[in-house]
Amino acid sequence: MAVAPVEVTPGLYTPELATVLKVTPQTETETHFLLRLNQGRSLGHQPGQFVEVSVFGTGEAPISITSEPRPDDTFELCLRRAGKVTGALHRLREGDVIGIRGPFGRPFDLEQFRGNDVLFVAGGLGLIPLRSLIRTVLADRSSYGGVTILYGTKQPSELLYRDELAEWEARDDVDLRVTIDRRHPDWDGHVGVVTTLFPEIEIAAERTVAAIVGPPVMFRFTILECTKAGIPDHNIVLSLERHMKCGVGKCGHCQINGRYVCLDGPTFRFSEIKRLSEAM
Amino acid sequence: MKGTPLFLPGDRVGSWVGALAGSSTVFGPQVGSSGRPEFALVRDPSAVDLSLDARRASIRELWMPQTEILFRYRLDSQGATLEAVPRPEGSRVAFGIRPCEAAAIRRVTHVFRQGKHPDPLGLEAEGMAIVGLYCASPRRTCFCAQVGSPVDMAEEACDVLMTPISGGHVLHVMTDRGGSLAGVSGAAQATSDQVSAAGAVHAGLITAVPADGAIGALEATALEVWASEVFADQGARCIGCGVCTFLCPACHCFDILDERQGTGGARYRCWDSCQFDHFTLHASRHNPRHDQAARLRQRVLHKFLYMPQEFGVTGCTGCGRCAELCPVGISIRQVVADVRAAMAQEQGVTVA
Repeated sequence: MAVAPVEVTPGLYTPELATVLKVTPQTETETHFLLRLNQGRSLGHQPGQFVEVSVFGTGEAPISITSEPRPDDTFELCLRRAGKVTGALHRLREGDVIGIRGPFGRPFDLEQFRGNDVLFVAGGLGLIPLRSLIRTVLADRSSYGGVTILYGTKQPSELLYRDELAEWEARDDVDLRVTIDRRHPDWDGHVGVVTTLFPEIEIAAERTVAAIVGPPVMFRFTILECTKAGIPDHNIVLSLERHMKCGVGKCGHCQINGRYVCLDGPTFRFSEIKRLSEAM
Repeated sequence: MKGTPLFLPGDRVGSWVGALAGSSTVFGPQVGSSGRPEFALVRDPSAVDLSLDARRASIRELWMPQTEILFRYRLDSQGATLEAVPRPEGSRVAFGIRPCEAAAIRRVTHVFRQGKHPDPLGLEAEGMAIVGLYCASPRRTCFCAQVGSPVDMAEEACDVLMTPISGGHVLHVMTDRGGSLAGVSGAAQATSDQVSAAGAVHAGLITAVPADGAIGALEATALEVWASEVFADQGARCIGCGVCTFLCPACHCFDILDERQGTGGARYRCWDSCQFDHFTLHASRHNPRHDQAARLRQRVLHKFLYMPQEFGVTGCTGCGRCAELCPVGISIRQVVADVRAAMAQEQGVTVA
């Protein structure tokens, strides 16, 4: 049997060490971490990618990178305390060491967004992966058309990155709209799920690319709104969440049909996945 | 059958295994510690017994250990120190495995070689030499001849194929590597009678496999197959025990876990199964593959639709273990046959 030589990645499953530089609690259940790889190399990620984060003795979990690529070699993660690994991550303090593998996955295609209006729609934790793209777009603001950010959470206490929301709100080149699912004594803004913001905005469908991240039910209804507004399927971009283990297209956990979300995604154009019933 | 035919008398098998074990790590059929036939590391060449029917044992151990340490770690004042675990070295020979099993091992290497991140397991599985053993008769649930041909699988995957005939085995040498293996067997040129006897065995197996239709790769588009009610009907019986995947020679899904002991520990890889509900369960408790029907569909379509689309080969070679050991009697052969029949009834869907 003829065998073509293949270069095997050394330490495919062996993480690099990284140090926690800063811990910033965001809400009761979400915490933001500033990190740097101990070896001094830059993570070298693009918006939309993820890393496998190790807490030695506890395990590994895939986590979206929330920071934009930048020259100082630091990167940021933000995560909810949900399972064993994320629970252990929430006990970390500055100076603690964790393991990082990656970056993995297909990033958002910036070329697709450049020159167009960008409509960001974030539901709940969906703001975390989208923040990397939002910050990338805002850092090069003149390369894009109108920028609209729709962000919804269940209640005010779940809002992430309040300081940044205030900054975006203050900019006159960003249209930020925040909503809370149900009326709440601490909230005097818009009430209703994130799709209820759509009637309030203008969408020029022929030059708009939408980037949507949120829970499965939010995807379905938001895509419907985008489609109603006339945005073609290939200009509706999603980032899917999946239970992942290896991050490199081997272990099988994240497969949707023949696609591995860790390799072929997590970002997908809606046109690529609309016929796959397990996608959402 | 391609390759140069040789003949090895039955009483010379032990000495051949001994010669191979002198320079390689050899795995072969033996009676295991459980008292059942299994494929195991050969420590005593005379314990290798080709008459054993080890077709119920898992062959996957040969290329993917059930538990494999990826690295060890020690927690210290620096946080952690990682220690790599060396990969197995030296040549390895799988001796006396069946053509279906050999083909399965070769086919999963596609998965482990693909993409930007090839896994050493893929190269190691490719590097393993295979001395195949052709079956004189099928087991009750065998269907290699429906999903392909055992002769083609032998040519696809074996370095040497042994075919049992009266008095010994005909060896067909398929590769250069096989030539080196056969070179230490002491086998002589086969006579034309011996070659014809082997040919009769090859054809006999194909005839003996229950002939109720070929069930090769599905060619329907994914959505049309997904809509099939067959998965709902068959999946309703599935109890999600995962035995089908653990015995399958081509299943390869795995989990990655940590085990800590005091200030040190290890991260290891172990077999996992797409038939388990937690396989796709999100931390948020959302489960995109939410019932057994969907999990059955994943197992069947991974082998009969996605692998053919991606690599041009089915991820099932008809060994029949899953059907033989399934506690509720689900047969992947029957599921695929039913899907094909259901698709054939729907206009405009190709099931050629």
